[in-house]
Amino acid sequence: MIEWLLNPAYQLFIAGLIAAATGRRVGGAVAVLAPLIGIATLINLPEGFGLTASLGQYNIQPLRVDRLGFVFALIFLIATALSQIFALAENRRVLRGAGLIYAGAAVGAVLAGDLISLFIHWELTALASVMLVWDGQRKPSDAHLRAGLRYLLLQIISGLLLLVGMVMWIRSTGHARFEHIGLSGPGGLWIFLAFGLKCAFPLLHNWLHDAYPRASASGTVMLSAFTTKLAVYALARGYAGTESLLWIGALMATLPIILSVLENDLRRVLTYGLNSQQGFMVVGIGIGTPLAIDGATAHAFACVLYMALLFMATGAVLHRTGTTKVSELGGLYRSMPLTTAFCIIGALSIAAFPMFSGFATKSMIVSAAAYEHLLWLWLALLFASVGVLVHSGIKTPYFAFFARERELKCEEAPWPMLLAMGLTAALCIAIGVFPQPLYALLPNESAYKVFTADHVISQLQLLLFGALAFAALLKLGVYPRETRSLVLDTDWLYRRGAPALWRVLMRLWGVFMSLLSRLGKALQRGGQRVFVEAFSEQELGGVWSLTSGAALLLILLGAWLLQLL
Amino acid sequence: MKPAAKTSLGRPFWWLVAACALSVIAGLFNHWHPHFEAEAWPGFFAACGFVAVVVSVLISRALSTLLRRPEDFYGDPSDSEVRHD
Repeated sequence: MIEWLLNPAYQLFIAGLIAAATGRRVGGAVAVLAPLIGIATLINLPEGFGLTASLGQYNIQPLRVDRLGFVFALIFLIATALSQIFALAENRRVLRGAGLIYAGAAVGAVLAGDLISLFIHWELTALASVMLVWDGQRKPSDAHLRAGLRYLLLQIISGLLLLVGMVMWIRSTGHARFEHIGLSGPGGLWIFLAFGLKCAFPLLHNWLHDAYPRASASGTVMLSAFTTKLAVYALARGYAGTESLLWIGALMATLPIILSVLENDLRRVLTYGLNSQQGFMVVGIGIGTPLAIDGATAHAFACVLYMALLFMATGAVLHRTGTTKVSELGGLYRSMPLTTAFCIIGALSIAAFPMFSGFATKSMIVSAAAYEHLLWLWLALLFASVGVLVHSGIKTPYFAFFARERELKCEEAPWPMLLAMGLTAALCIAIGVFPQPLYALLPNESAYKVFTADHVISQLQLLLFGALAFAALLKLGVYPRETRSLVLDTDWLYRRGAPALWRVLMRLWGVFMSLLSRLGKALQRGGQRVFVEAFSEQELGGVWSLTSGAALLLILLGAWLLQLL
Repeated sequence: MKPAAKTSLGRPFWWLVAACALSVIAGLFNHWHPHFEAEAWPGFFAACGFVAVVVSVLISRALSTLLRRPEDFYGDPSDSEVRHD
C-alpha cells in the first residue's frame, strides 16, 4: 500500500489534515513543504506510471502519469506552494487545511486515469473549495453563506452531470478509462456540460464572479488556480477538436470584457479577465491541432501563475486597506511600491506583452487559429487580447495604485505575501523570456517560434494602441466613471428572476385556487339542493357526506374509465 | 450615464503616443508572412487595438444603465464588510 503515497494528491490530503490541526509554525511549514515534496515525487515518477485497483467489475486507475496530466499536476503543485506561502500572512487553519485538500483533489483529478476517480476528485474540489469561499468572513453573514451555497450547488450539479454521463459511458463502452469522449460518445453531452460548468462557459459562468471575490485574500488566490484549469484539462482530454468549442470559446473570450469595464470590485474585474482567458484555452481545444492543444495547455500553465499574481496583488491591497473597490482605491503606489511592481508584472503577463508569460503561450493559440485560416475566430481572439489588456491588465494596476491621490495610507504587504508575489512574478518573466523549457513539457512537443518579428510587432501594435485608446478615453472623459455599484450578470436569473417568476406563478395559482373554491362552493350549494331533493336522507351521516361520497365515486369511476382508454 | 471627469495623464501619455508611433514604423519595415491578407496592411494591428478598446467601452457604456445597480441591490450588506487580519 505504501506506493499509494506516490500519488502527490494523497500526499496533499495527509498534509492538509496535519496542517489544519497544527498551529502557525508547524502547519505553515507543512503546508509549504507538502507541495514541494509533491513536485519532487511527480518529477521522479516514470512516464506511463500508474496505480490500479478494481472496483466491482471495473478497473480504476487513481494515478496515471502521462504528458497532459503531468503539466497540469505540475502547475497545480507549483500554485499550491506559492499560494500557501502567501497564506502564511493570514495564518488560517481553513486556508491550510481546505486549501491543501482542494489542491490535492485537483491534482488527483488531473492524474486520474479513469472516470470514477475523476468524479470522486471532481466532487472533492467542490466540497473543499466552498470552505475557502465561506472563510472569507470570520463570522459569515447570511448573505455570505447563501453565496457559498449557490457556489456549492452549481459545483455539485456539475458533478451530478458528470455522474450521469459517466454511467452512460461505462454501461455503453464497458470500461471507465478517461480518454477522448467527444460530443457523440455515449453520455458525451452530459460530461461536456459538466466540464463546461466548471470551465465557466457562457451562461454557466456566473458562479465564478459570484463566489471567488468573496473569499479571503489568500482564498481567492487558491480558488483562481484550480477549478477552472481542471475543467480545461478535462476538456483537452475528452473533447479535443470539438467544433462547438470554437464559438463557445470565442464568446467566452469576448463577452466578459464588456462587463469588466463596468465592474467596481477589482477582484471581480479579475474574475472576468480569468473567464476571458479560459475562452482562449477553450478555443485552442476546439481547434484541436497538436499546436492548438499545446497552446491551450501552455496557456493554462501561464494563466495559473499570472492570475495568481494578480489576485495576490489585489489580495495584498485587501489585506492592508480592507477593500478592493475601484471607487475607494487609488494612489497606493507610494505605500505599496513592491506590490505595485508585482501587480504590473502580472498585468503585463495577462496582457501578453512580449517577454512576459502570456505572450509565449497565448500566441500559440492565436497562431493555431491563423494556421487553420479561421478568420472570424482569429479576429475575435485579437479583440479579446486587447480587451483583456485594457480591462484587466491596465484597469487593475491603474485604479488600485495610481489613478488619483487619496488619503489612503497603509503599510507595504507583509513578507510572506511579498515573497509569494516575488516568486510568482519571477516565474511569469522566466516563462516569457525562456519559453522553451515549458514548450518541452507540452503533450505534443510543438516546435513553436514565438519571438518572430511578425509576432512581436503585431502584438506591440495591438497592445500599445489599445492602451492609447484607453488613455484617450480617460482624457476625454468617456471611460465609465468608477462608482459604487454592482453589475448584473446571469446570477440575476436565479437570484432575482427565478424568485420573481415563482412569486408571480404562486399568485396566479392562488387566484386560480380561489376561483376554483368559489366554483366548488357554488356547485356544492346547487348540488346539495339537488341531492337533498332527490334522496332526502339526512339521517345517513348528513347530506354532505352522502353527496361528497357520491362525487368521489363518480370521480373514481371516471378515472377508472380513463385509464381503460 | 454621467461621463467621468476628464483625467489629465501628463507626460506618460506622450511617451505612449511615441511608442505607438514607433510600433507602426517598425511594422512598415517588417517583411510580413501573413496568413490573412489583412495582416500585411500597414497599421492593421494598430487599428484593431484602437478600435477594439473604443468599441468595447462604448458597448459597455450603452449597457451600463441596463446592468449597473446600486451595491445593495441584492440586499447584500456583506459585500462591504471585509475582514482585517
